[in-house]
Amino acid sequence: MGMLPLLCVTLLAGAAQEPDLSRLDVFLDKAVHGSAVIRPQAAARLVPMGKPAADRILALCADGPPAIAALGSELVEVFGAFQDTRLRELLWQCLEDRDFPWRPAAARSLASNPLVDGRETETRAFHALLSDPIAPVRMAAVQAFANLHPEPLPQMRVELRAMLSDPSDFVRRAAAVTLVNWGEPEALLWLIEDLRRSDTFFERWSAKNAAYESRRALSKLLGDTFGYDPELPADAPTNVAAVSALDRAARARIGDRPVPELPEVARASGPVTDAVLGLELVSCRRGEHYLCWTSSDELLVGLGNPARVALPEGTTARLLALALEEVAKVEKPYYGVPGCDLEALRIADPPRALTLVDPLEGPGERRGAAPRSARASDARPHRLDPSRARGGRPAPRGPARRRARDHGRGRRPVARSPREGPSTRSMGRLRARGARPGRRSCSRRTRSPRRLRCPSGERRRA
Amino acid sequence: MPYVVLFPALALVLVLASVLSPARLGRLTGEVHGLLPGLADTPIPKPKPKPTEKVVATISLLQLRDARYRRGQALEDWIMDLDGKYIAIEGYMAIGTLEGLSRFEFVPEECECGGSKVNHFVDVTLTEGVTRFKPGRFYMRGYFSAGEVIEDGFVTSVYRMRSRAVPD
Repeated sequence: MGMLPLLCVTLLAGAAQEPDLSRLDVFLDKAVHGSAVIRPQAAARLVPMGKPAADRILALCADGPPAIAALGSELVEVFGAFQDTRLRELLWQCLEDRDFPWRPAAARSLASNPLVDGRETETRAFHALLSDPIAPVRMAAVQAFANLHPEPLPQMRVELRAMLSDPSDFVRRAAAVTLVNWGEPEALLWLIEDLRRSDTFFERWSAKNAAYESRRALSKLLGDTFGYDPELPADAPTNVAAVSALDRAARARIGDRPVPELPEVARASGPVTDAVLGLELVSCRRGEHYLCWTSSDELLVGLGNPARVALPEGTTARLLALALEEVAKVEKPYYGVPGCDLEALRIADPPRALTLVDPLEGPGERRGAAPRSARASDARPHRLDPSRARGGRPAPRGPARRRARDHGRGRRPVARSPREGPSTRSMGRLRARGARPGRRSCSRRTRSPRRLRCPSGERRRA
Repeated sequence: MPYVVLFPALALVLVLASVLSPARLGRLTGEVHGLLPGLADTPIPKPKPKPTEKVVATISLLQLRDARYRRGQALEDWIMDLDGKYIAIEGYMAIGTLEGLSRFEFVPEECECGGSKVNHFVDVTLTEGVTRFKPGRFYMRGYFSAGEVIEDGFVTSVYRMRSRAVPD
């Protein structure tokens, strides 16, 4: 008799911990069709529901990567958290597909929830991702190494040291943090170097972004950032003093260990003062490329401390004339369809903001390479021409419908823009109220559903 | 004949009205002010000046993004100090913003792809204008408010701004 209250309490506690499955459908719907801010929250709420939620998701993924792509990046990003081998299998399948639009999300999902039981297999798989063309995927691979191996093998150390020369500062930072956690404090110098940067790519806050990220990492690793403020210039007295203090703290921690020389790509550099023309090619499937032509006929490749290629005299002037001519031809500003492949043309004087996000119909169907394919002009109010944006095809009723249609035709998924906001139904309502599709462009660490044909080619030529 | 009665009656009404509510009548008869007896010294109430919209702080969205945020926990003091103030924030209009809307997300980078975290954007409400294509980085000026807004169990915004219009 005395056990009865105890039994009741136990049962009640068990009931309280049991996830409320009645909302599974609601959360699943919101994770796929909710607004940009709700999707990740709804997706995260599916995880505690465990196997029933995983089973439902698996049923939706039956048609492979195209069906998974249609679920959106937010849901893909939580697949790994279910710790379900079937979902992990799907994630690896998606990662193998170079045209899957949410490869960074899939990689992050796997990396942040490593399968410790299958450590060796996963390590081999992540090893292959260290040379992926997409920086966020490489970064996820680095983080997976850190999560899988608190005590690394010597070969892993060598591989991660090599990542300190990665062209992407995000990857370098992830490698540096991992190495410091593996007992190599000299990698702190990579983070401190970011605080000395003052580079920009036209209006892009490349140095400031890096400074914020590195400051956060240093704060965790050293416990103090000595008042460094990323909003101030790197040469502001308070920042100079803070960087000196951080450098001293790092070297004290390094002690007698040999201090490596920072590779050229990781060294701080100043702003490009003679930039004339810029081209930004950002794709979640093909990587990021930043090209800048200067008045001294140099081609700068990359962000931060870019690689420099000397060009024949007059090249920049000829390219600029061509770019201006093409931009002037544009009758109607045109910014493409929602998605994540971005081509941005930047002209320094007079400052002209770009912009072209060309709809990518496929490798063979693209209407020429930028800047000839520019459909953009200055920052002017514009109206997107839907028929033109979609290559003259009938306007779809919403992004999900477009994705479904493209999948049905066996074409690459034109996925929802990560910030597309309203769901398909909301989009319909908005259109009914007279709202028009407006701004289309993209990217940073790059997540992208459409294919850019030229980036790799441009880079090779560069 | 009715006009003989109507005109004096109308005049009487006007005089009475001026006595009873001179200020009101003064407004109504702004152009002929001073012609009617008793109104010469009536002060005309000036239209209320709009509150001076002086920017008290200028911040970048990177600062907001970098600030500590955990659901249900207090925001950092410097952010709460800006609550209700007229400030300027530097950032970008989010990708996928439709034209002709009175709300949009103001984000720290041109593309916040995959970074739809609730503390990484300012939910801007336009009181007069509507959204239009606005590439590149720009300043939004308006009244800032901070704190979680929860709808249907989901946090829909942490930072908000009421602004007149997207700047030219």
